[in-house]
Amino acid sequence: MTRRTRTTLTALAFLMPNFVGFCVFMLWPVVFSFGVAFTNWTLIRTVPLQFVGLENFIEMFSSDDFWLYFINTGYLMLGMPFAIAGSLFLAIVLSQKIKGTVVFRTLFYLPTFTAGVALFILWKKLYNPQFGPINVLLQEVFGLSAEQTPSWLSSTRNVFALAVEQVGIDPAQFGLGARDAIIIMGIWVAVGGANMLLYLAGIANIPRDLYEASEIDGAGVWGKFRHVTWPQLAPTTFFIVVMSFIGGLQGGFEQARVMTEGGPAGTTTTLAYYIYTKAFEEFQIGYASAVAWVLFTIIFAITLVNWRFGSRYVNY
Amino acid sequence: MKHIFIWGFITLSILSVGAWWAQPEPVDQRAEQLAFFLEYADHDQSGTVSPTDLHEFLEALDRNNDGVISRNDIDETTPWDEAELIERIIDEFDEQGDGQVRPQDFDRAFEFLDRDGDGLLTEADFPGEMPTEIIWVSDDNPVRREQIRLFNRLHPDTQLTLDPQNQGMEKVIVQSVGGVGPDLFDAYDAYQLSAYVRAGIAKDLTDIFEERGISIDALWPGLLPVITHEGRIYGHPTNVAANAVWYNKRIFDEAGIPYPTDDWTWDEAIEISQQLTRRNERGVIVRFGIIGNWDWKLALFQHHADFFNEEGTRCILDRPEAARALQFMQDLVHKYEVMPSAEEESALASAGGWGAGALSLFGAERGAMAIGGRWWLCSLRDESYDHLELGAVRIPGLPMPDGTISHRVNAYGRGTLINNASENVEEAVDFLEYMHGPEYNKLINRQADALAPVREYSYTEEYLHNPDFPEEDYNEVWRSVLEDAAAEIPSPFINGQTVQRILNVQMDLLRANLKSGEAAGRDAARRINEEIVRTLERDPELREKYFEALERGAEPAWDDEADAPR
Repeated sequence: MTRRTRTTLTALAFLMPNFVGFCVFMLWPVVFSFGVAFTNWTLIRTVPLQFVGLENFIEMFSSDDFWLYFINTGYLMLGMPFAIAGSLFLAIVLSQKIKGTVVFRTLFYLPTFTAGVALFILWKKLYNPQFGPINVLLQEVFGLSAEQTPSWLSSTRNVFALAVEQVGIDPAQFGLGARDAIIIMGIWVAVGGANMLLYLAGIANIPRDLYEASEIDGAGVWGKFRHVTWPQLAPTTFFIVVMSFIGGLQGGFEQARVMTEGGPAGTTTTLAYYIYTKAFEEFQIGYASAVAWVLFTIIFAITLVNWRFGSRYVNY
Repeated sequence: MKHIFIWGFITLSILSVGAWWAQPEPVDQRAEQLAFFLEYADHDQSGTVSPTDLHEFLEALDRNNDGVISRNDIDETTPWDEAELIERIIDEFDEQGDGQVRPQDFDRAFEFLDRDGDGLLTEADFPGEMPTEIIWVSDDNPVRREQIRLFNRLHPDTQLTLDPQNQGMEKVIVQSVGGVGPDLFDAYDAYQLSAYVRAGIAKDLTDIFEERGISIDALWPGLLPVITHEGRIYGHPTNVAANAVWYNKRIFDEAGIPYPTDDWTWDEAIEISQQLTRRNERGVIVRFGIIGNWDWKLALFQHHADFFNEEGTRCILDRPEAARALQFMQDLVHKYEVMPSAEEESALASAGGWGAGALSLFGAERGAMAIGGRWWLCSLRDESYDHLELGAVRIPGLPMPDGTISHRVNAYGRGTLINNASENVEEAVDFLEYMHGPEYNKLINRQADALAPVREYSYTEEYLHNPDFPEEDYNEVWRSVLEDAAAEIPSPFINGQTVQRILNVQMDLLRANLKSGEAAGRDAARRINEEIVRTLERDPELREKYFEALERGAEPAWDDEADAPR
């Protein structure tokens, strides 16, 4: 056995435990679920397992529920630009040489490593329609009456007046409701999180002489941001956008499970939660697998679009 | 290269042994209790403990000389190790679940532990074999542990262990399908039972019950759908309940309103509720006249509206009686303003966990009255609720179109089932047999964990008047509402979780005043009937049964043949 072969085998031996784990716990379930998506598999003995072709997919695309939950999933991603912008803003502020930046970085990052369930319980209290600090603030500071303040997690209203039971617009639904509450909470969690750290690292890597050159050219604060900071952070922004899309399309499960149980009236049920309820509460494993693969396809397609068009604006 | 494999093998071996060693062993309660007595009650270090020794041990700890060991024997002068000892004794030997250990509790423990029957506890009484452990997935309510302890005492060769962490139908089914399910688990309604049976997880106990002489005729009929499926028996009820109205006597006294009586109607209840509703200076309601988990099912039952037709082939929530029932529930919130809306309820609520929601609100006096069950006493007996002066009365009567007054309510409760794959079926059946017996049923009634599943035990003086709680003069109410209670009959042609999902959406809209009762019922019925059709398209066995039912004259779930199952 040559030295090269021995080296290769040694490397493979070190990689093997992780690879075996990946195959067993990730690759195999994914491949298995792809096969299951074309069957009628339930956990009910009386339903014989059968290949049903595209039936699950046809049922899904003709189901009002699927489209409503798809819209919910997209709706909850509306906070993404604000979260990214907020992270960038915080990173710019915290990259300044001022006292206490380490303390502030830690404080802003706290929500990221706090248990999700604890955060959701906290925000449920904040959103209490009568005694929660948010509505009390709205009443005390802005003079709103109790009827004018949003009901938050109990309300089906939303800023786009989306109807509840069918795809469409219902003007009576205009307002702030459960979906908006979850968006606001999501922005608060995300602003000081991993994206802020990525931006901090990106900003630290911007050559100082670019700023000096821009100052010489007469650029002010906004000019420096627009012509130096923002272009130099393009790769970081691109990465954050791609990952945020992926995370956003998969998200919403924890919030639905802990805060709202998918309600009120299904308005906070996302595709991820839908997959869970279909698989583990209604035992339609085949159908749930089909939904999961459609979600994967959507995520993959959007990621490809991001790569194709977004990368144009990225200069390395 | 050789070294890598050797070290890899050693590492894996160490990890495997470590994982095996770290597995918790079943705890032998008998051995633990015996060791406890030999350590603490053997005053003369003779290696033996007699009944006299036990009594002397109890007297030594009974600091307040009331004849029992309780937390009243602990005060600021009690040494911490003695306080810990008292806590442990209460935890191990409190048979009645009232925080007191009596001499007779020690006597029973002595009999239980004296294996060789020589009248002394010695090393020779240590059990030779570990008891057979059976796992029960159930909720960890305040009185559950006492129910289990009693069973373990009566069956020394079996140890029943509670597993509250794996509750949830999805967990039980997935774990059971994966071969790691519990021996016993609970079904909370007929849908769950149907799901367990159709998944092949619930064991058919019909023949076993017959051999053991366990008759379901002795049970409250309202809960039979939770343990029987298509004529076969799959479990035994754990307890049974039907809702009545709790009221806070102090609030009634303050307002100068007479207490409600069993012949009251909803008109009177609404009037009283409106009088007892209180608002703060901002006009926000801080105390509702009546609260209670917005029980729309109760309204359906009282209006004699059913979810499905008799054969379960069609959802009939689009019928006038269902529309009236649902509209009534909406009116209680938005027209009469005596019950909280969803946001008002979430605004008032502050607690979580077992028995939370309306119970917590009532305990916090956010409601003058509350619709709830006798099982609330498991929490309301706690000293933190001592400020409440409780009364109970039947659900207000509903005048019907035919001139009668309806008190019809729905019965609910849990049934305990045995896993088809259990390796300890005999021991598990022992547990269900224990649930049918006097010790368990009397304990349930004494603990007020709803009512005992076997009817006869709720027709005793012991049930009506618990000497430990003489102020509970309303036990007759809980029995009488159960006599009027009907069972919720599911449809075998649709998954219960699907029904629940559809109903949750409609009820949310109804409660939020976004839909009328008629519209909510109609839309719920339409969607549920569509799901029935889809279920029939997927399940050939169900489809066959469905069409057999249609041949017998049942109404189909579709009005147009074009909508019939393909």
